Amino acid sequence: MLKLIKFFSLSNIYKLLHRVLRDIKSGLIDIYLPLFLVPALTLLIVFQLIPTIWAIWYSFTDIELLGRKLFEYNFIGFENYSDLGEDPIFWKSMSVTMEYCIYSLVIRFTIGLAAAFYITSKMRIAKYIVALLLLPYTIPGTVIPYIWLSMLDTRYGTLNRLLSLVGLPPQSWVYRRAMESVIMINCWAGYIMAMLILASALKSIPEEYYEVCEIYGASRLFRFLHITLPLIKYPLILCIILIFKEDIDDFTYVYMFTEGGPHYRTELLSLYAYHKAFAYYELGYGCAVGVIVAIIVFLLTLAQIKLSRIA
Amino acid sequence: MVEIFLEKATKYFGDVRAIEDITLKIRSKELMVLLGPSGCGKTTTLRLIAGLERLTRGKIYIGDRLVDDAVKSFTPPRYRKVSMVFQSYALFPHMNVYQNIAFPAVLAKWSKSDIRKRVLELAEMFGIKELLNRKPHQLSAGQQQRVALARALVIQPEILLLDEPLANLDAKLRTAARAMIKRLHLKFGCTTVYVTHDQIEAMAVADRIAVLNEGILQQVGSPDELYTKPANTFIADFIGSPSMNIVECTFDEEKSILDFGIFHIKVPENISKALKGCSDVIFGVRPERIEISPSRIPEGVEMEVYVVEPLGDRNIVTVSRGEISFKVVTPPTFKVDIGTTVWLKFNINDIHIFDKKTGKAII
Amino acid sequence: MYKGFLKNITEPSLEVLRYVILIAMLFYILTPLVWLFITTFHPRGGPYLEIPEKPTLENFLILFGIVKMRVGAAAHPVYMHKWLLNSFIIAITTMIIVVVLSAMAGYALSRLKFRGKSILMASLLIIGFMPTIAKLLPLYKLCIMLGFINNLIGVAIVVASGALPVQIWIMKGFFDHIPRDLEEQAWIFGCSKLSALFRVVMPAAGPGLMVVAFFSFLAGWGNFTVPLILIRTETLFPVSLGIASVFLHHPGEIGLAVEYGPLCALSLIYALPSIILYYLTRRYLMHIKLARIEVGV
Repeated sequence: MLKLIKFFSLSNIYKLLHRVLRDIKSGLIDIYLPLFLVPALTLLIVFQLIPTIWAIWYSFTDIELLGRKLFEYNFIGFENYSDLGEDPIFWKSMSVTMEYCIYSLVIRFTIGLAAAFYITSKMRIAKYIVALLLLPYTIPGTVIPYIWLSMLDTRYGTLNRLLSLVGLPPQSWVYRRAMESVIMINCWAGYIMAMLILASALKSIPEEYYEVCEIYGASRLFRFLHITLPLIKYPLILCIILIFKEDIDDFTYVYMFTEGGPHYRTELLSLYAYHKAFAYYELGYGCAVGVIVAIIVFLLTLAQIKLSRIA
Repeated sequence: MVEIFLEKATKYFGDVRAIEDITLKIRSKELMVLLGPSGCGKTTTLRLIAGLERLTRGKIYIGDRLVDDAVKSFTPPRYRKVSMVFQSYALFPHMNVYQNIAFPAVLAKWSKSDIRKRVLELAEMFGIKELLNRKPHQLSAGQQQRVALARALVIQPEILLLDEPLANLDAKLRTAARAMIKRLHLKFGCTTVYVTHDQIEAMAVADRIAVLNEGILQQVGSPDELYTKPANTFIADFIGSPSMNIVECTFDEEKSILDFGIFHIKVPENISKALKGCSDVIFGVRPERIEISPSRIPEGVEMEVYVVEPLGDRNIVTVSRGEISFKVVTPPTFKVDIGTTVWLKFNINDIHIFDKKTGKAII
Repeated sequence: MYKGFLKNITEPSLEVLRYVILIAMLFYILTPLVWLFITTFHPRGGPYLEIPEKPTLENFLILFGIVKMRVGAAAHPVYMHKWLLNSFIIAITTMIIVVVLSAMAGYALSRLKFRGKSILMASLLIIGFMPTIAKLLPLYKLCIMLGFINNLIGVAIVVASGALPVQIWIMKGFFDHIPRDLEEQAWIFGCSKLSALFRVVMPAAGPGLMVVAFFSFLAGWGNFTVPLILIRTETLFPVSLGIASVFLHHPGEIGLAVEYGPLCALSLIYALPSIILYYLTRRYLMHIKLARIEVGV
């Protein structure tokens, strides 16, 4: 963090510019290369960075979405944040989010890794498995809740029918087991990015490494822990970061499926922020929730990277 | 054809020295080999000539054009009329062999029929006619190398730069490719700069060799000159296989002898004159130029056989006594057992003596 | 000896376990799709999985307004062909923007050496950590200023900005694997630096461009949140929004009056371009080359 601030500090930017200018003059750097960065960075700054900073500013105000306060809002310091601390629904939402994220992460990642192993294995059907496993990704996100709603229907749903086939009682998926359902939906198409990235990483491991293991009679577990895992470490971390970010950010499924209910049991933080901002019109408060989410994601990402360094 | 002239060429990467003060004239139509161990700056020199790097100091001329003076004037590679074969061959993965070979001609805006004629002609010459529709990753290393060479020669270049063109080939192919390159050079007659770390390869193909070590030019000369008159201990050690025997000794001016501690060699007057004033010297002699005998010879040095390596066409006998050891090349008929005593004799015309401090050759 | 003995016992059972897991996974993933496919051709589609006696194409006709829908939702005007077109415009524009910009930025990041490059790479990811929802109002205000309301290209630009960071990472990874030799060789043969880029580097990075095209097309094609706040006019809806407007009455209450048949037909049509794109890019998807994480934060 400190490094980040230092990097973007004025004196450093000036120093960098100075160096770059010097190098351009002496022909060491091609001018067009830095220019290539400009359009992408512009887009990111305008549509990602500025709204982020703007939202952080809002989180320190009492801005409301309707009425006078939309225009005449006041700076209120950390009031929103101190209110958050005393908000029971926020804490409930926090624990719900953690539960959702952890289960989702584990399932998405496990399926992704398993799928990656299958599609890179020497099985003859591997080619067809890839095609099948990629199918959910081609179903657009807004359609997925509808499909699953039918799957999980208490009276007619396919899932309960299957349960009755094995002799289990039907479950009220949408209400009593809302969290399980939401996680199930989220993981259904959610493993694919992980699968592709990990499969690419697995494919890039030279065959010889495994042959060496074969010669020395290493066990499967040893092979996985000491050869495969270290070699796909970086894609693996990136996968976890991306999955985690997506889980904590995206609330389309709960929004369309359970609307946070019953009794806030699926009220994810991002959905809570949405409710506060757009249903109760407390925009400043909603933004504060958003900032907290961003800080959590950031800290967890840092922790992951640090942990992977130690390991 | 043109000549290349490097004048005090110096290149630093940050604070790391790549080459320093290299002044080298590569004559027109000559095949010049840049030879040296890895990291000696030979590839950097080649890239400087190609225009892929800029000089830190100095000047480079191609023909009478100043192409790089380290300050203002710099000709980018595409205007230098050079052609280059990279160590990795740099075949474009998305093009097939035909398109790869035709690439320079397409850029030069040749007509389609001209390109076709020229590519087929070269493909015929290099024996890659059947491969024209293949992609580079479907080719063997030897085939890739020939495609890269063909591509470099599509447009008759004035200067051909070869960066370790044989490094990725196996030993057998290498000998064949070496001969091919030499023939090609005769046929096309372009000024060629050839980078290698393999001294045998260098001796085999070169008109002249420039030896570099740690960024400094050590010696320039014909293969024969480098072999018979090495300018310093580095060249003496680097050129020739097995390499020259190099032993430290002291020169006793009064007695006019080279003193090795356990034995000494008397030197004639002309040598002792040249050695006047130096006491610490390095003595060198080629293994091929030592006389060896299982029976005592007058003024011979007594040594014990340490190991014998029969190579078929010759034997390499290592003899030692105390801390001093010599390698001797003998005919295959020369048979001795390990541990037996032999006598060596050094022909005074074949010995080299170097200054111990500077490493430079005195004789 | 001991190890070989153990191996003989475990090998076949492991093999069985492998297939059991695979089948379980495929079951989880494919069942909803099977239902989707069957219900599309079912005259009375419902949540139940039932193979229709008389398969029908009626659902497609309902979708395009040729035949009226039976239940309440029919009150909505259904501009299906327009919505599909709108989605397509958004997706293609997003794809073009992301492919071009991430190729440029990825190339620059791969070839440039400067201090703080790894920090810049990390910031690319960190910039997206703020939840979209918190950014919605600022984004909305920004888009009013820029005239992006009811503007499909505007939607595409905003979607593209969200998809860029990861795609830049992917593109940089591909460029890192293209040796510099290739460019230098092209320069020597007479290419200017830019023409070497277009003649040699970009074609050699073709697989990467295809992968990025696949991901960014899907990002634009399925996006819901951005059009939700930027598009007001019903004729300018993309399909994702259209579905919600037809089938979703109140948030959290989908299914109350869902017409499953037309919905599934729509999903099938909706999935088609993605499937085609997958077919075109399938060879490259398994060779994603990620830039190494060199985060020093």
